[in-house]
Amino acid sequence: MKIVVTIKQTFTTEAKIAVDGGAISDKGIKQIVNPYDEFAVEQAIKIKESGGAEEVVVLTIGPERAGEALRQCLAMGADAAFRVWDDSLAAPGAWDVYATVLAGALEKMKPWELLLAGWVAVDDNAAIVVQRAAETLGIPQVLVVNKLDVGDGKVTAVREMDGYREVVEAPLPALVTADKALNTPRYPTLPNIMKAKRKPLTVWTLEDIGVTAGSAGFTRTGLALPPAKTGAKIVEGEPEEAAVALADLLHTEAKVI
Amino acid sequence: MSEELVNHYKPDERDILFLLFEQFRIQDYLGKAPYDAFGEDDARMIINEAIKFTTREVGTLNSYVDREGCKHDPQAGTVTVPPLMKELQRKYEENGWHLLRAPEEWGGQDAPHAVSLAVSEFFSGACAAWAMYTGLTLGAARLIHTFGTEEQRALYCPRMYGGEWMGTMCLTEPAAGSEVGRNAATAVKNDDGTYKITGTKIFISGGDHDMTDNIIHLALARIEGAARGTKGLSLFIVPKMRINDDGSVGESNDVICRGIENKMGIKASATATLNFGDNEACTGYLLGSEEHKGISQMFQMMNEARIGTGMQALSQASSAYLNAVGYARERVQGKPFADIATGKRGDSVTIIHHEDIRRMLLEMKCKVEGMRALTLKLAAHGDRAAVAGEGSEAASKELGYVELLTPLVKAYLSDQGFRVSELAIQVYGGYGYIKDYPVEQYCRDIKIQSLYEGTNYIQSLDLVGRKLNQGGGALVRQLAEDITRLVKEHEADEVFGSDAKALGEALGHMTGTTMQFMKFFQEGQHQLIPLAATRFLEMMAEVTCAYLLLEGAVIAHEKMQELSETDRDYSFYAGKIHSARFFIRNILPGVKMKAEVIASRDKTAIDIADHHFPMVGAD
Repeated sequence: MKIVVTIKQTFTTEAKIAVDGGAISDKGIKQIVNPYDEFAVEQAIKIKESGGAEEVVVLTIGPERAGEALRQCLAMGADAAFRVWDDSLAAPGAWDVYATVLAGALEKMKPWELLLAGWVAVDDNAAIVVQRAAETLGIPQVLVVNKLDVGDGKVTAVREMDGYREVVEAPLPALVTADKALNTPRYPTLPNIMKAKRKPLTVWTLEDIGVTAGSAGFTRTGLALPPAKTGAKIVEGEPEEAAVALADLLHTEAKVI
Repeated sequence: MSEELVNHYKPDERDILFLLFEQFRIQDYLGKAPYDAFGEDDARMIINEAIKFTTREVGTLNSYVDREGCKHDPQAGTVTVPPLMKELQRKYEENGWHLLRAPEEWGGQDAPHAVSLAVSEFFSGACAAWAMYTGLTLGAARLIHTFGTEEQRALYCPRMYGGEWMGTMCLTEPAAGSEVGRNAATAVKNDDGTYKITGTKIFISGGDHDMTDNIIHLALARIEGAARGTKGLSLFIVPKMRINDDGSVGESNDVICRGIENKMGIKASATATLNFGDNEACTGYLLGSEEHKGISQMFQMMNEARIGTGMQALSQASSAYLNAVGYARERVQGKPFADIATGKRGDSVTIIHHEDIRRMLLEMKCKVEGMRALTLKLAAHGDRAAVAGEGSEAASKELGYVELLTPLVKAYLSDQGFRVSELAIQVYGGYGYIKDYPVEQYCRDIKIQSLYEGTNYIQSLDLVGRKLNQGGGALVRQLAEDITRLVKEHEADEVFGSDAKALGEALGHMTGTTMQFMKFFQEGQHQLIPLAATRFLEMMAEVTCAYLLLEGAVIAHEKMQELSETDRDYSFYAGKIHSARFFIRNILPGVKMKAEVIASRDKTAIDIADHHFPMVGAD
């Protein structure tokens, strides 16, 4: 069995975001593998280690820099990596376009039986691209999974909801997206970091995968940082007076009571 | 264990990447033998993953190991370390980090020194007491790797580099501290060519513990009838446990731990008193096949350990500084001085806005960055020597730099690291003094570093007595030439002109002082030399740090031109320029003052008779 894991390179959630020319500035911002995708990679490697798969392949859409993220996955234990890129894809937030490209790449990578991914990317919170690609490919999808078993041509997945849990079965090939309780991703070991560069990393253009990207069905019209926090106001004076003053402010200024 | 395991370790990844790839440009030699397996991307990924590992797995244990410390069992003569530290050691090895600096011959990665030293900053910064065990093991293994017989290499190297056994260096004895030549441990040759070892060693870091089944001590001892002083010493491999023919661990080799020290800091590093041969049953094996080579062999490990000690101090100081910055950004206290002075009713502000806090933060920043530049420069020179090839002229020039910078890295970093950590406490105010915050531990853990691996005075004698004269003064001349080149390039510069000039003047005071030493010697004023040595080491370190900070600032200034002010890198580069300016304008002027004091030949410290001090004795 072959498992494909789609990943995205994102900035760290601790990074201080700067907006430059209508886009998030990536200068000096540390880039990582989207943490939810790490759970997917870990799961794929685990399945392989337990004899449930022969090959784990990672796939991403991204510029050259995204190769670092792929390499981390190779160092964790993936066998091969693919990166698709075209400068026309640089426009941010064109999720429908990415989905088309991803579906094209996944079509070209066939045959594979299991498609894994993180359930959401922490940078844009969209949770749409790989799901839409799976729709295009016509395969079942089980989303936001906390426990996963693969065997006998099917996946059995557990989904945790507030107050109950659901067990879902789907025939392979299928897409499963990972939630954080699925596993604890391993660190790439030092020897595996050094070995990672000897593993194949293939770069595809849109032509290679036979896809015309087209243009997004929607346009981002604004991107702004949240307004800076204004300073807190401290009401001074004797407790009785201060309480009255505070209630007054809550009514007249904050307009919450 | 009631307290939570929280990571306080803050790595300065951006500064390290700047030094490696923008200032010292190690990518120019990566990919070349013997570092042909290493590319820039490997180095970056290693650094990235090491930070992940240390901030998630190592830094979380730093205050825990400080609280737990090591436990000595007097009956059994053994030591146990905090249980979670054993667990950490296992994880560390599972992830292969112990292989970073190990030679390829023994399954290691043989990483460039600049990379492995940068990475060791993370491990040491996250938990200094723990990191010492592996650091010392590496040093001991390297001694056997370099000087051991084929048989010794085959027995010990795979097991020590592989993490199965740890190692120590045993020099110090009750009567032989700085004066190594007074070593009293003896070795008597047995019929089978081994030696019977007898003696007591003290202050042995990692001297006993329960992290590995065996500990391989490298101990200095005097073979019966050998000369007095250091030249009569030989180096012996003395395993804690005897080793069976099949390599498995056998019974005790009569090395008993009589106690561990109750110390100010690095509490989880077992500082052991070891008795060798109390029952006349301790066997040692001469390292290599030549007797009386102990001191020169040990110096390989000492030099490595001295660089490691400087790095250890830097690692703690850097995290103390970064924690202080984080605290100063959040703590609200006091109104701006200008508001008070002008009678404005301003709001209270975060303390990072106060002038005195900024002074302290910037002093910490520029010192830490200067210290790190000094260390990674040393490492890059060592790497370049390896690339140039042993014995080549280029290699000996590079190694000259390594030799000159080693005492500076050991002494200046440990002295200033302590002071940086003390300033960090000051930034926190009273909160810095309590254990709820990490800075008091950094301060305690750092202090040892000016003391062990040769006190800082010993380092200054190494600099003044040995390194200044080496090759007829060639090492200092090289440094002075490199600094002068930078000064000349920028003294007419609009941005850095005045700072470049100030550096040039400080360099003049430094080289002038080297002349003073020659005069003291020629005129028989010998006592002035040790009196000035520590001060001179500081002068040279300050001039070199200023040079490296200015060099970095020039690069930063260039890079900034392509960026907009909102980019994170813009702030980083601007910060580098401020570091250089503050150091040159606030620290470097001290060089002139020190030069004048040395030139004044003040002898008060010699003239004062010992009975002029109060007549108190040691308790």
